[in-house]
Amino acid sequence: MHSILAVDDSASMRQMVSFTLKNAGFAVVEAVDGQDALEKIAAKDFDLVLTDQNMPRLDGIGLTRRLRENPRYKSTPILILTTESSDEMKQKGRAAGATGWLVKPFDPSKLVEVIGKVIR
Amino acid sequence: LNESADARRPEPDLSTSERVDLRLQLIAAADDLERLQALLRDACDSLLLCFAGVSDGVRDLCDGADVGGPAQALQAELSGVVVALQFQDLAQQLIAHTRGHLQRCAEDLHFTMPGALRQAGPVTQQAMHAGSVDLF
Repeated sequence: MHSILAVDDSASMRQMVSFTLKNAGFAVVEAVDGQDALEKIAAKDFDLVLTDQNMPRLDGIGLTRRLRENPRYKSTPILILTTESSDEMKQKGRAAGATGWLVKPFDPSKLVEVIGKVIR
Repeated sequence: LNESADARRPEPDLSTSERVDLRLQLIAAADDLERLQALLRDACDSLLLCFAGVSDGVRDLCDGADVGGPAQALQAELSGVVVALQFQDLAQQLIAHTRGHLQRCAEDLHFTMPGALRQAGPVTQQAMHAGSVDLF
């Protein structure tokens, strides 16, 4: 079973993401922000990271940069799921090493489809 | 520092009493938005609890019997609920953004008022934490 780290400071978003991904057969671990995600990643390996952008302590792009510095996460898919939809922010995400940029609200079946395409 | 900031700001075409009134209205609107955020948070917490109960029930229903079409219809409805329940995250971010705008406008008006009107009240603490100490 693939394991996914879902990172969002909104409890309702974490619940919606977890519900969707667990129903699709993934194991899901939640983190409340980028810093919490780094701590979870130090303890366990994940097959994909799905992260919000705007979060306290460490945002999604900052988390992506930090993960890409880690050899274990050099090629792990990282998807940014955010309310931000400007091209400028998307370019920043891409430059940081994100695999994809998804704008909220997400559609459950599309999210699962996208994850299925990028996860190994 | 405030004097140089004042010099850069264009003087709005409002009387002092109008500026005071406008500033109070902006602060009241920002406070109302803060209350709205709390209401949304409470309402969404209740909705999420209900959602968890319903989705568990649907899962049990689908596991326990061959309900075919009706089960698929229920799952499709739940997918719709997942999209709808994301409103809180979007609304909270938008409200926080708008509150920030209102607070900055109120602050700008504050700096364009005559010095005597800028005095803060004697009590500005928000909680009973120990205050800072400055030794000179």
